[in-house]
Amino acid sequence: MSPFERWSVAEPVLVARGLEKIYRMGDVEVRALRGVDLDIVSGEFLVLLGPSGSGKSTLLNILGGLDAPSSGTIFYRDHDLSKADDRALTRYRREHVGFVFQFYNLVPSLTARENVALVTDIADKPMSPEEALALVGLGARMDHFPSQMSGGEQQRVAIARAIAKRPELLLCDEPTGALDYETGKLVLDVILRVNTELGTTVAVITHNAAIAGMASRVVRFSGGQVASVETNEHRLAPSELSW
Amino acid sequence: MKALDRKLLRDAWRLRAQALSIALVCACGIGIFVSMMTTYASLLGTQREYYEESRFSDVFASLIRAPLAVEARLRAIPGVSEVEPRVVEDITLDLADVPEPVTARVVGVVPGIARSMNALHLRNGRMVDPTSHHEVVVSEAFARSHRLQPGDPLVAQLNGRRQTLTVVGVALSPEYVYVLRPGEFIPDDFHYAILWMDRREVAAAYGLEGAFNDVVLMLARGARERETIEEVDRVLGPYGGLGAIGRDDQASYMFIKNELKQLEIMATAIPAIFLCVAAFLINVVLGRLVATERTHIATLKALGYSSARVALHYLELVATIVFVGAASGGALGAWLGRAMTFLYRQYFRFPVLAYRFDAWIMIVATLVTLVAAVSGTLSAVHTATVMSPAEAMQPPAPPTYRRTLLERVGLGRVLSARARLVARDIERRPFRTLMSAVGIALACAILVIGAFWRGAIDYAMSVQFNLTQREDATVTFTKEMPRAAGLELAHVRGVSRVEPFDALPVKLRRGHVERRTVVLGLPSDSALHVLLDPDLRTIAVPPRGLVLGKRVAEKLSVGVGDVVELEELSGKRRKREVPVAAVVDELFGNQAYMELSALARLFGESETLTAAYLTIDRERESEAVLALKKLPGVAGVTLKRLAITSFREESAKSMLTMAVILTVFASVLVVGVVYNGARILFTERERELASLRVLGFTGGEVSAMLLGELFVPVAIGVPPGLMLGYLGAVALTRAMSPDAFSLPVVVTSATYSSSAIVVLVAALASALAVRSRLDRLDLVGVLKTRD
Repeated sequence: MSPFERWSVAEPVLVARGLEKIYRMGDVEVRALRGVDLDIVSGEFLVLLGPSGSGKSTLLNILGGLDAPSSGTIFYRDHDLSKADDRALTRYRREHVGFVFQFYNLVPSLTARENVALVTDIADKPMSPEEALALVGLGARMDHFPSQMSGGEQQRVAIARAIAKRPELLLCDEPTGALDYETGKLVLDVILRVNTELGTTVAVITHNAAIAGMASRVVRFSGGQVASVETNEHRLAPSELSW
Repeated sequence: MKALDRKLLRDAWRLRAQALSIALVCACGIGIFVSMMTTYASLLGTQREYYEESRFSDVFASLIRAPLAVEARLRAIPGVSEVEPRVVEDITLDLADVPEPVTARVVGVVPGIARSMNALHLRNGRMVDPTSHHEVVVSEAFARSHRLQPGDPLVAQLNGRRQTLTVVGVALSPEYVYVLRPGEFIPDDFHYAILWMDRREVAAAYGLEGAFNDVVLMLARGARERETIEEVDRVLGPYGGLGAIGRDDQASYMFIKNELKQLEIMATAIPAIFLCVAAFLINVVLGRLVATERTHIATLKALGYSSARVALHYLELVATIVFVGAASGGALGAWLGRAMTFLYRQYFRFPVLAYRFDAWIMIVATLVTLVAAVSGTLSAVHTATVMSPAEAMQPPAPPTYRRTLLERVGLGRVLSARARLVARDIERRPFRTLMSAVGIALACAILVIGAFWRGAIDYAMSVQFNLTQREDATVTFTKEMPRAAGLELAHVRGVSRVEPFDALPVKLRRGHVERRTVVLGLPSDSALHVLLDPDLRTIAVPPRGLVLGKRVAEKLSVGVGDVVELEELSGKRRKREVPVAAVVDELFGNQAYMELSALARLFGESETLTAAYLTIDRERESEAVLALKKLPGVAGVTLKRLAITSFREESAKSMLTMAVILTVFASVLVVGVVYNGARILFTERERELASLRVLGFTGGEVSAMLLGELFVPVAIGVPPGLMLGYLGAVALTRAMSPDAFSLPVVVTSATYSSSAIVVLVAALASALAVRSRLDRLDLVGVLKTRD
């Protein structure tokens, strides 16, 4: 079964309905989400595309249990995340979600291996840090500190850290945003491999329209709302992308 | 090892400079607390045990002469369990190599039998042998300062007769733990000795065979001291009883009690202040330190760590710092405490003054520090964890800035863009600036409290010894002399002025409060002992009425115009009602004063003299002293300059040692606070400063901004800190003024300026340390990454 077929018949993992999010930034009130409905289906590679300020990061944070919506509901399987308390959200993040951030957010005082171990220490049936790092092609640089690695390498450590717990969901926030062209494509390749080889559901948010080419589904975002959803009949390999 | 534990260790190492300075602050707070508390506990424990073991008497009485048969009557008084009659005399010693006068109190005891009270603790040699003659046991302090050993001769004037005694032992007595010449308040071990001899031998020399002139009593458990003393006085009255006293009035006991009371305040109030200040600073500093870890906290939470686990992680970090501080503070405290306890050995003559380290003192200190540290950390972690991780991971929302007050009132033009930046940042977070300022103020106050002693002591000494006591020497007579006796002293070569006076031991009473003191009858034109008003202006001895020292007046709660009852403590024990004519603010001593002839008229007698103040030419001093000692009727000569020296060397030493310790600790505290403030400020502003550098500001301009922000709390904190220090000094001197001596509340400008300078230097050094980090700032790196 091709990945495409798999997600098209699979059950939704995350179901969001009518999500609203209002921030107060100093004196200004920002309506980041204005009624978002979205399903994420098991095994798919979803790209959330939108200009900066369109609310896509906010959505990703809510999907990942890092933030709570102001109103609306979000279900992970049959768990209502919008009503979950801090404990429940912590459990959700610990057991089901892996994050990759634009700025990697590695702990600078820990080596690559130890950064991954940070997660494997608390996960249920994790892979070993070595295995996770080998998966992202960093088997040889496991004992380096973040400061001794390039941006791409750091981002790959972040991916290894995110997938080491074998999450059901990998959420990536502008994973290539701080990287150069070539390195960015390398990182995208790793994310795709996670999707295809481990079967992890992936959601990538980006403002880089080119990346949409590798998605199985593309959700365009604008002004805090879903503008359009399209399914990619022709998916490109990361090496075929250009921007 | 878990990855989080590794992070802990690496973070501790990464933050080592800050962590170390915080640990130092902990160590200072705990060190001061532990050293002073353990010193106090050691002294208190030793004193209690020694009095217990040596069976220190409860009641002491001197009299003119009573037959030994009276002993049985004393023994029969209800509440008295033991009685020991003795013969006690004050004598002069002749030491070949000492030109200054040396006096001694000789205590004639019954040798041979095991002494039931005031057991001597022999350091060296043996007790006096009842079958031998001219044997003497010498007090340890005196023996040590003259290197006296058993077998050495000691020449004494016993009732005017020269006798060569043989030292057979060196001993300590619970009666003379603090050895003071009567009427003085400073020990002078070189010129004053306590001697123990066979009672019969002393009695024979003074014509007191079969009699006694001094007695010590032990009370039965549950006996009432006051009533027993009244009964003792009734029995001894006909024999010239000078009034029995309890332990509280016994000189050595009283001084130790006062010293311990002082030390207790020194050992509790100051370390408590220190500990609280340290705790406060740790709270603030750690709070800010953890706040800078906001992104890490959010990341850990995003990875699935619970808030509790994250909090625990930071608590472990903080606990590590606190325990490093506590361990070094404890070790430092124990070392200092031991050193201070040994310092006290110099003037507290206990057989054993062992240093004891009580674990609970250490535990209390550590707990207080830990609680402060934990609460500071928890509140910071709480702020970081209640925020959703998504929010916490964002760079903090652009904070709400607005025009500062200065700008709003139209002074904006005087501020440069950079000054405005600093001003707005301070005004936006006034609480944080305020807390930093409070920290600086507290540190500054501690510096003042630590440092003011020297100035205060110098001031007290200069008032006492230059303005009040203007004599060079005091001569005491063996008995009351007529006024003409003074003339004879004036004939001695080298003596330029003689001012005789009468010292009358009395009990002053007002209502049911009573106070034993000495009334000095001074001539109306007294120029060698001068009474001063609070502004240090000379006031004449009033022609009638009593002049009271401030402390006595306060004890009796009387003021000018009130009438007090004055009872002689010798002879006929007559009582008179006397109005208070003036109250003087004397720093040393507890005397009362009266005009010499008014004092005589009070009892309807002619003027009598018991002593005289002298001025002596410095070049002829030894010659004059020698001649004075030889005059008939002279019991002793004391020199003021020796008192000054010994005060400087002994009494002042303990206070000054503490002052130095406090100053050092306070300085460390200040450095810890300021350095941490600077480091944290740097972390918080790193990106902003780097951005400014990228925009083209020079390193100097950017660091000027950082320093500006750093120095604002210093500028705000120092003035109230100095004031707070003054108030602290006032409270401390009030609380610890003993009966005999009160420190004036004098905080010299040198103290203020040195305290302020320490703070400024600490701030400057910290700023420079941070400045060097600013120079090494990786501009591109800082702007690219976000943690």
